[in-house]
Amino acid sequence: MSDTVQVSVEQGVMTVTINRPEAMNAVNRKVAEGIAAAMLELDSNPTIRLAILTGAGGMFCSGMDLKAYIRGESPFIDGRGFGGLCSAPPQKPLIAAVEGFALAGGFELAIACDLIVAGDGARFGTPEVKVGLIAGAGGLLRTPRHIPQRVAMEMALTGEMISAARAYEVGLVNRVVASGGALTAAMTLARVIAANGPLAVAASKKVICESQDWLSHEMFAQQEPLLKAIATSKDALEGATAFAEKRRPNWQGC
Amino acid sequence: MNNLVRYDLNNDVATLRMDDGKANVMNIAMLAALNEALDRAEKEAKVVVLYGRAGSFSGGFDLGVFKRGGPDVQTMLEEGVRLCVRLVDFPLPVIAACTGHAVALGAILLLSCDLRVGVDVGARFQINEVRLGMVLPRVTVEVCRRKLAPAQMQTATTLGMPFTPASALLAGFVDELVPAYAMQEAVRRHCTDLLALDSKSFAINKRRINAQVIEAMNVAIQADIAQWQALHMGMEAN
Repeated sequence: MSDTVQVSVEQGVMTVTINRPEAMNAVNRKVAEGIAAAMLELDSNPTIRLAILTGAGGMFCSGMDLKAYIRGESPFIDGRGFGGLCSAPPQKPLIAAVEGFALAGGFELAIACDLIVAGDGARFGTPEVKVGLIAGAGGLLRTPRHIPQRVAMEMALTGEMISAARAYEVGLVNRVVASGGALTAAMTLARVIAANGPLAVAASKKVICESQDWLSHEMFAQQEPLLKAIATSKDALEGATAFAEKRRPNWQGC
Repeated sequence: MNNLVRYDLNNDVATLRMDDGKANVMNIAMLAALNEALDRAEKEAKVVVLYGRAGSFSGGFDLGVFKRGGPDVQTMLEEGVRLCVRLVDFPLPVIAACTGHAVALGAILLLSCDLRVGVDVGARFQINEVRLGMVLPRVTVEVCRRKLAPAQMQTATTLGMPFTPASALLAGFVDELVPAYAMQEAVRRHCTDLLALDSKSFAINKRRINAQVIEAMNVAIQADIAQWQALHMGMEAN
């Protein structure tokens, strides 16, 4: 694995760090491959519960590395999309810890995550229109599903950045902390999630994400198989038993 | 005139654009340019706009001058705090277009203006002297008391915490937040509004409202200057 994307695991929480601060953590081929590999590991390793995506050097990501792109390096991974993430997010939860800029492709990486924790100096934006491009890696597709349409429209059409405070106001960001504290706060959030039933957490994410395409009159039917699988799992029994016995559950992951 | 402050007079509005190409530090040259511009404005304008540059309103005193030492330090300090008093006591309405960071004396200058518009993203507001091991001039304390919300006084001054645009609005560093691209429009709107004020009654009202503060600032400035002179002549340790 290259140093360009650093991956570490601590108590079941993976941290994926884009490590090109000299290039504002711009996404080149190595970054995309590194993230893709980390996501594969995240979903296939039963000891890892969730992951945090962040950037080194006090900033998240400034988007696609244009110079690399011109040289012929594609930051798109087959089957996974931009940055090895945007078209196919992992099954397990992903938290973005954002300091500084999350712009263009960087913004799209952030909103491909399930949760976002931001330092109060963080700035979010899709400036593509300013150079005659569009935010095609999910910036236009996901944003209006996550925040009010008018705000998404303003971001897309003006290409202007919004502050962490504004992002929190519109529900783009889950929590704003003092500048420099995003990763620590993301870890704190991760631990709360990691303490919960692993199957239940993964299933909850799955229902939230997939149900966006379910029709109202069939959504409960669509949910049924997942619900059944959870309800009949050993962990569900363990959870209820632990609750009754006033102790912490010992999850098995089945 | 030097090019640190660009002076434009348009329909009775004097716009003073501070631009040193970087952080708009308040060194002797910048302070002199501002005073010169204010001299002109006082004679020929009805509203003053103090405009920062992209990314920075003012970073405060020039730390390089402190490092180099010598009589320039005292001159710079004196001129800097005198400018704050001048703005608080200025007979015309002063609008601050806070286009970016306002740090240390830069934040105090901002607080010394009558109406302050800030950008809504990317600016840091911080009275950070304590974090640099420096002491706030007494006169700047009076300015803080005047404009900062009581609840944020300690965090802003004693603790020297940084504020974002959103928290700066709550704390009283600014009166309004706008996107950077809308700053000119907001300033124009306020100019139109304030141009309608009767100049004479405005000046008298401003002086009445600020009478106690001005008195406190003048007392404070005497104490500050005396202390700086003593320091310069090696008579005091602190």
